[in-house]
Amino acid sequence: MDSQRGAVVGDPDYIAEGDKVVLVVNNEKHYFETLKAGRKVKLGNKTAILDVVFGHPYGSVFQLSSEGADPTRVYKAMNTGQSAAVTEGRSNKDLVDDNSAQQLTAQDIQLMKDSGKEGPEIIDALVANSSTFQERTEFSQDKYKKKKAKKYCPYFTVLRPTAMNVCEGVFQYAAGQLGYLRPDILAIMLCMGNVAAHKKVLVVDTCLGLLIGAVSEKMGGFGDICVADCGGRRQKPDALKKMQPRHQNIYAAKLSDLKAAQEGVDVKCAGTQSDQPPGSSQGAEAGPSSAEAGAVERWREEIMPDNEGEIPMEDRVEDTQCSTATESDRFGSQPEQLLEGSQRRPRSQQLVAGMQHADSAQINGWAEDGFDSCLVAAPLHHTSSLMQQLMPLLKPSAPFAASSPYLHALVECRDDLLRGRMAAMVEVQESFWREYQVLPERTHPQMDSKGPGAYLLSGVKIIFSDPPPGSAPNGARAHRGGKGGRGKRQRR
Amino acid sequence: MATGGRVIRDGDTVVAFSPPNNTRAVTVDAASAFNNKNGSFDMRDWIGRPFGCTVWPAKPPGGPPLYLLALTPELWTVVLRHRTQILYLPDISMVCGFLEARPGVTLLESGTGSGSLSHALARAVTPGGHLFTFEYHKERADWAREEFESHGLQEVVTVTQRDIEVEGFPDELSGKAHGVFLDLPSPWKVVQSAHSSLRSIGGRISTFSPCMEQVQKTVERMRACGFTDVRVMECLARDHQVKTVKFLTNFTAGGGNWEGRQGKRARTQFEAAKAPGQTEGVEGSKPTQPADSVEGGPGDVDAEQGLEDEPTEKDMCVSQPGWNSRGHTGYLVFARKWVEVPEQGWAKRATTAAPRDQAAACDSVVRRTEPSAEAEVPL
Ligand SMILES: C[S@@+](CC[C@H](N)C(=O)[O-])C[C@H]1O[C@@H](n2cnc3c(N)ncnc32)[C@H](O)[C@@H]1O
Repeated sequence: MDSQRGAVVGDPDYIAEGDKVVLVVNNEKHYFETLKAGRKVKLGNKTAILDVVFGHPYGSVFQLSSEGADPTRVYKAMNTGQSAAVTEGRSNKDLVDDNSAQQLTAQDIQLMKDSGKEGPEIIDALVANSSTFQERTEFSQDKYKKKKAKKYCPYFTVLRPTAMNVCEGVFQYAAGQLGYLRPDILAIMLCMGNVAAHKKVLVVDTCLGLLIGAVSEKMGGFGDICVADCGGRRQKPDALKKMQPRHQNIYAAKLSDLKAAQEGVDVKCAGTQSDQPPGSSQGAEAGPSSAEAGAVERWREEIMPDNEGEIPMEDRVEDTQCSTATESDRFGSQPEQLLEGSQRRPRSQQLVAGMQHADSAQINGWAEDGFDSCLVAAPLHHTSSLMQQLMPLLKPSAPFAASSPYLHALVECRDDLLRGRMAAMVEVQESFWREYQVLPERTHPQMDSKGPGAYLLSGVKIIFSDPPPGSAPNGARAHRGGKGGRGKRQRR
Repeated sequence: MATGGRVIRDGDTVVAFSPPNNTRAVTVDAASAFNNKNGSFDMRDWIGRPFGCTVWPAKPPGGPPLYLLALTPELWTVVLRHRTQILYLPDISMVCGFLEARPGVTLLESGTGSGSLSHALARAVTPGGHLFTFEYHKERADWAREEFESHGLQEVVTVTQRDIEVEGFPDELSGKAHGVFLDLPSPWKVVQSAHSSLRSIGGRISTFSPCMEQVQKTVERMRACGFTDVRVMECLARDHQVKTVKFLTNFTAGGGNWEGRQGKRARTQFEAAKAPGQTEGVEGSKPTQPADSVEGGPGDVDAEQGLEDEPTEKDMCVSQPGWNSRGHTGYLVFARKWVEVPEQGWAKRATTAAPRDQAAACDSVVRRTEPSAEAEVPL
């Protein structure tokens, strides 16, 4: 079959039970689901059992017409908005927007629904009972119908959980928890970090594991991803868990172990290839509550007995404007509160799918060779201090990128990296992203604003060396100017 | 310090970076010298040193240094010789992201132009995938082919001279591509051909056009030819300059800013306290010159200041939006091929019985294709 040819291994063409998918309703709202036969799923204002999607190709569109009925596949391409552009003579100048135009009441509509009327019929009824519909311009009629269609016969598209899809969806609900890592910034970051197959990439991610998943997707299963545990609170890999595991090469290691290995200490890290019960791996030297506890404890997911321990994204309070950001109030407390009820229940823990402990041989290997690339999305880790620690772990000429919602954190980091002569081409940038509606004679910038995005720092690691002895002292001294500057900064 | 990393050899392409913002691609030739406005560098000394190293000029001795960096697609975009308009980082990133370029996929591109985008696409599809890129201008096609070869990408990229707007994509590629990217004067002419080149499941198209009129025609064609989820967007990046600024904190000393001679004296005093290139007052900022405190400018001003009493100024590291927002101004269009392929009976039966073990499938990929030298992205 044609469609089987050229399938990318690991990327299925057809939807199957157990797949993690992104369901995009009305081309607007993203829902995440692990498909399970017989499970009721809430999509917008409807609930449905999605078993009919099994066996259909990814990218298929389904209509949810009436409550309780199975969704039906849409085969005819849906391309609305082709209606004639401007109608002469008609205008909206006499329209009064006082909700009196619609003769049908909510009760009437409910009655229709109860008597088994489907979405399209309801829309026809609404149009017929609108006293102003005929007076509207065609453009406006079209818009009216579309608005009603969204409500009474929503459709959804089944997509693979690519990093971009997951990023876009999670950003709608929890931009703050993603560290404002918008899809455009994520995409730029992956490029700036030169992430590709067969590289060894060092990742610091406190943004729901989105960055780890995105890096893994770009590498397609080839090469190593080392997730450095740099302290802080337990991570909730909610974004990572929405993606399909691609990769058996995601390893977690403590930053302190990586640093120790580099300083020549023979690291006897907790890491073993097997998944040990929490706490047991650390022995006596660190209590379970210590910040130093288990190298990858932070990436263990909590498995609830009933559901998969997943907090449905839509239940989350949207995290938008926070003037005082601390780890507890900003990046964690809301889901934590939601978890509270379930926390009393017994639970087991296991590592996030696809992730494993790095063993000491690997850690020593990385420390000796260095990483090819480094990506950081850890808004509440002091960027400059963190980069100072990470830079020695990189190969010379390795590109790196760090995102932060806070321009100041990156500005300071850039200054410190340049003064310390650790990197070249260090830039701080901001990305502007806007979508357009393009229709005949109705082209304009899209209303929905993208929301604030993170800033991005990028650069290339260098090894600075002094000029050869005997060269003219003038120029050389001029170039130490920066070091004088550093002394000054320290006093600050 | 990590010791891994490649060592520079004769004939390698290196990116020579001279602070604050001068970047050039250099092919290392042990027998000659590299010259820039800061001096002359003996390339013999470069050989055997790691990428990322610092080199100093032979003439004038002690002049500003140069950093030798390994080539990446992003650096190539900065240093390549412009034969055409090119795509820049933000657009390139969005295309790689929304076209779902990933290892194993087959992508089509036209025109090749200066190969700015092609390098990033080639990186993304490696290993297992392929980029077929089409350019109707013979010299540009040849030039691009040479560059891909010298960057070790000849196994991943095929450049073909072809008039895509007239002939469309070749029939042999029909139904094979996961993604098609068009940067052509009239992309709408190629939409139909792109549609037939794409796989029936998971096919994506993207175009780049500077003008909205082009976009409108293209989008209309896409909707008519069986594409869906059409998105039009623009993405640009703006840099933020970082510098240390001396702010006045003593508001009484000097005084009389507006009064003839006195004011002048006060201002001279203020100016003297500034280090050239390092700090910036309220006036006289040079917008085009990123004040790159460390890499660019000399000068430690502590000694000259001699302000024993109260400090009258305070250093602060600040940022300011830069003048160069990168990204050629244009619009990106993305769309998905409408999936007409029917439900697959066997898939349904097979999968409802036993959910496929994706982890195992991935595992087998990893084992099947062990990292091999030629599969690696050379950049
Ligand atoms: C703007 S450039 C592409 C730049 C490229 N995206 C990059 O990033 O370097 C457009 C290219 O398309 C080529 N071109 C124009 N019309 C063409 C056609 N009909 N068939 C093939 N190539 C064409 C031009 O020669 C030019 O090199």
